Amino acid sequence: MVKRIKRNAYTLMMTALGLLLVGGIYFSFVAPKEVEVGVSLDKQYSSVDEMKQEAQLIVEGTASTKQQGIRYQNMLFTVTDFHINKTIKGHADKKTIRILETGGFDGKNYLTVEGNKIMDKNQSYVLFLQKYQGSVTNQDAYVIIGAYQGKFAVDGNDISPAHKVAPAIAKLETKQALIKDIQDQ
Amino acid sequence: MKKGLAIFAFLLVLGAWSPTFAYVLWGYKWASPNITYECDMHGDYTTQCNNGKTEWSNWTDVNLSYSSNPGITTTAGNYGNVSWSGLCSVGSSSGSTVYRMDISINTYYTDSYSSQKRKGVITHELGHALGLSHENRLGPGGSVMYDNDGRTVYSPTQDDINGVNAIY
Repeated sequence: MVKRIKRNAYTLMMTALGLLLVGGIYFSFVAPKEVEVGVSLDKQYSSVDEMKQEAQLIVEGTASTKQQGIRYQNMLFTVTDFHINKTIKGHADKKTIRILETGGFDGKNYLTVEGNKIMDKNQSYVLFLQKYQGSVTNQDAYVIIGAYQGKFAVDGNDISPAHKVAPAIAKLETKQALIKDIQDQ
Repeated sequence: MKKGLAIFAFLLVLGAWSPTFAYVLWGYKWASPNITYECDMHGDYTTQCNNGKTEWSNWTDVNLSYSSNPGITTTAGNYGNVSWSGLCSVGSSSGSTVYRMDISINTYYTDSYSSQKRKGVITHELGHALGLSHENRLGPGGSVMYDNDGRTVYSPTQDDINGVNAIY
């Protein structure tokens, strides 16, 4: 009886150690990681009002599952189809627009800017946008004001500003507060 | 009583002490302080890239030397209005050791910058390539690693130099 318990305990311990080892190897060497790119932003926005002034379009909507990675001159960009539910400022010609972001999944890791990943699929956002002017894509596309600064993830009434934004933007917690900030100014 | 006062005074001094450095490390480093680079650019971009390289090399413990098969490659191209003027990405690494860093300068913004401001962007990205992260606590004039182009210094400051020397 004691022998059998010892044998079972030994097997259990070895299985647990094996699983730990496999898990350790997976998370250390195989699982995708977030890899930061170091940027110099052209500008740090200090308030929602400042972003609003420069945004051609402010919308609320949902990122679709359609994302396309573009490798351009050594750097990875991602274009995401975005379904507009509500337009807060400006006018979009279509209900679905394309958003170009720096970074994305390169097949091995998630390239992030200041700890900010590109938009998650099926996630709702409020976005401050400008028309993209450049050669990374020849499709009609928009870019987010300040790379990531004009991107707010929406979960019901709660919003999450991006990482590393100005204090006046980082303190916003609800969609009402953001909308009020946009409409007040 | 005296002992209590002495402890209080010691704690007061300890509490008032603040570190003399502000630099933030990115978490990457080269295997050796001898690092190769190439400024694969044109005109004033090449000049400012070489100026930035020379400052990092002369003022810190790293030694940057030219190679046609470099560790750090700096290029310039027009990426459009993506909100960044410079970008440094890890080209090749193993754990925290890097073997290749790719710097891209976005001429959409930098073509209209003064030579000094352009040099600031390139020097900032070279700072990333050497292992520094952003440093905003000292303000726009305290570090070339200030995170945006509103920086007012375009060369490595003493804090930046301390940061690189802390790595190598």
